[in-house]
Amino acid sequence: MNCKWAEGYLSACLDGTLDPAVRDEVVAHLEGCSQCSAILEDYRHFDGLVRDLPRYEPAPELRERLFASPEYIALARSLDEGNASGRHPTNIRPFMLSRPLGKGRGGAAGHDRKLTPLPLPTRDTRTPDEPPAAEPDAADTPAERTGPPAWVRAAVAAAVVAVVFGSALLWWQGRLHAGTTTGPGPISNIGGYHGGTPLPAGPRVVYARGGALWSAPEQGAGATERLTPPNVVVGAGWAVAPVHGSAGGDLVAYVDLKTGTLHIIRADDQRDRALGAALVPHMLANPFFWGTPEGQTILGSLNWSPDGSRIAALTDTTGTGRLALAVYSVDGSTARTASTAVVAGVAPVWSADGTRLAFAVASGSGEAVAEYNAASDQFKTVSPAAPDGPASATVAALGWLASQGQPVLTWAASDGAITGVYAQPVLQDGATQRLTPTGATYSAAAFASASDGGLWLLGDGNALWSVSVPAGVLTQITAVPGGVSAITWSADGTTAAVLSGAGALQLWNANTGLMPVAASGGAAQPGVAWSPDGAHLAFVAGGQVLIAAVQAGTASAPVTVVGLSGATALAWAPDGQQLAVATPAGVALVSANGASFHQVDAHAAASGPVWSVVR
Amino acid sequence: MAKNEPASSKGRARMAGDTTGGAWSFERIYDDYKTPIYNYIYHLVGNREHAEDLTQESFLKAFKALPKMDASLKLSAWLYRIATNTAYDALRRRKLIAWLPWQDLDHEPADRDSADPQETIGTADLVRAALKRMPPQYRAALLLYTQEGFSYAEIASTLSIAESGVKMYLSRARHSFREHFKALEQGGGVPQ
Repeated sequence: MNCKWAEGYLSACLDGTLDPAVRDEVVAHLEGCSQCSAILEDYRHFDGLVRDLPRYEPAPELRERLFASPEYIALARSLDEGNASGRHPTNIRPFMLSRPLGKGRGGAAGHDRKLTPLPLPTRDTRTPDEPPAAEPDAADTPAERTGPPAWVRAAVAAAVVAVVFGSALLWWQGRLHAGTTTGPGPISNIGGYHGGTPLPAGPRVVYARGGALWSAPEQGAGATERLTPPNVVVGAGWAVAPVHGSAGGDLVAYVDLKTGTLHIIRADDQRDRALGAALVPHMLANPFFWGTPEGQTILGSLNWSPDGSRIAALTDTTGTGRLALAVYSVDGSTARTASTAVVAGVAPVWSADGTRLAFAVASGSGEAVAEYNAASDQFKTVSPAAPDGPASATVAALGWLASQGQPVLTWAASDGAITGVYAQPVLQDGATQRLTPTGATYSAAAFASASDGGLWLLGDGNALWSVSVPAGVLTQITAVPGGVSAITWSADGTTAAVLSGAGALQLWNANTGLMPVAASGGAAQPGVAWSPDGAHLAFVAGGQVLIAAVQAGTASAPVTVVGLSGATALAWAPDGQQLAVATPAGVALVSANGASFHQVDAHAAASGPVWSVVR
Repeated sequence: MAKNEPASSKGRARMAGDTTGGAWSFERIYDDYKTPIYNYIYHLVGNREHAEDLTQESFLKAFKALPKMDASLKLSAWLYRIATNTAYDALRRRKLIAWLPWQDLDHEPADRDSADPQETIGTADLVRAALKRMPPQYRAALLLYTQEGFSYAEIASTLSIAESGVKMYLSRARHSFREHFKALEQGGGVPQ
């Protein structure tokens, strides 16, 4: 017996499946052959390595996706109808069929987990993975059925009882909470993926869960629908093109985690398409890439131009961890990539006209400010973050002046604390202007552009300050006990919400001055949300969502939205009539006056909500 | 019984001989088998996101076909058979076979070329990379035998091959895995 012959039997020898006579020959060969013995030992060792590979639990969302999928819903419906019609044999084995959690289009709202006996038909001769014949169409509509199945009727009855009971409970809650009004509407039906059927026009709130984007109409009429097709997995950090005036809001950008490519989908789910090549080609070899800091940074980098014609995203095409900034035209005509090492600590900011994009790049031991000029399609480094030092300074915030002349870029530099605010006309290299005193440091900074330039609001451990741009006039607005922790401008740049380190919320308006927002002690994350028209301010305090009406910089007494707790994100509809609230219990739409809300999804959103508009 | 067949499915995972009167549940089947099926598919396709999609697809296929199956059905091997076919289809459809072998470890950044591969990516990563480079049918056989604890007969049933073919599959699988693993250990790749 030679080695070549013996080697062919080593695997079976290891498994103990050789005939005794052959096994004896192999064993005899192994006793005198160290090479074949080593191979056998390798086989044994490698079997152990494969056996001991770490095993993973599938994501919990997979269960939800499976049992809420249109295919499962269609299967459940067909089995239920077969049961009711007596199509199936009667000599059945008991079978339990679980219903999706209020997901069936045309099904009842709420949680229907009723279990229904299912018949067990006779043997099928098809291959195991071949679908059964006459599979029901997933797009089956209620109108095509002769009547609702029993489980739907039962769920409707349960929903009616729940609504009646819930109404009574909330009426009683309303009595207990004088000064607040509330009342949840029913959870909308959850639909499936239309696959190209346009949704009705109007604002729709978008959120992500289970690797897909979903959207629900503002007024609650119609079902919550799956926006993205089933063959993609949506990463965190997806972005809706901004709504401006009567345009925008009708495109959603996201990264498909399966391919690593940037996708654009219309808000009505009519068309989904990939833009360019994979943002991170090497991620295909690393199943855990999107969970790494680099992956998370890239997912969070999507940034629309104000007019929705371009989108910027960070990429790593070399697999070296060196991030580059790519700018895509939505029509797919161009894709430009900055060659510099982009840093992700501050989000890029587009100029109001969408022609320039400011961002930060690595420079020496610190960072520099750079810009992309869409008109000339060129990238340029504008200035070190802190041209007068320190060299290790990073960029903390960016903004563009609404200049009538040449574009002016302004930014805040940070070296632990904010050490300075600067401005520079981007067409005049080297003319950087420092706007804050040397040596002064701040804990928060927010910029708002105005017709005559812009204004920075700065907070430190004791007070709130303003700095005009480009004049550079520094003014103390007020003392803030506990210091300033966050500043949020309204969309029109007229009023800012200032959150103190002690949780006190105040409004500041350049014309009307400072105004506290009731006794809102304890205001906290997710921070405040201004309605687009600046007429309402929503925030979270004491675990509750509160809404204050704002007029001329004065806020009314906030109304508490009873029944919504643990809000993780707030977003106002483009028309300011509804506030979308994400909580661990799902996604809800609240009326602007806080008087009522209705839940559009009983499952927690992974990210969002953000508003889109179907046009 | 296969090593990783859920203990809770004993006496319940087969339609034949089940005299307990207990009922089947799609959700219960999913809960019992989701982890082994998901891991099996993951190691077949080498991508966790894909594996989740294919796990969902496999269970949906099973749920659709299950009510029509014979009472003698052996649920565990049948589920693995569906999962295998689903993964094979996906590998063919998405041409994963083409890109999996060459893009994971062959293109390390230049500054990592001299690094010890084991220190850089770990033994489990090397095992997964070696698996990816094997022909899918051998990969499936090795996974079913080592990870799932299937017998030759169960592997033959799952992969729709003769029992004598299992011996050949495993022999070639071990040979292939050894070649690729050793090449990867030394920082290289094995041409296919």
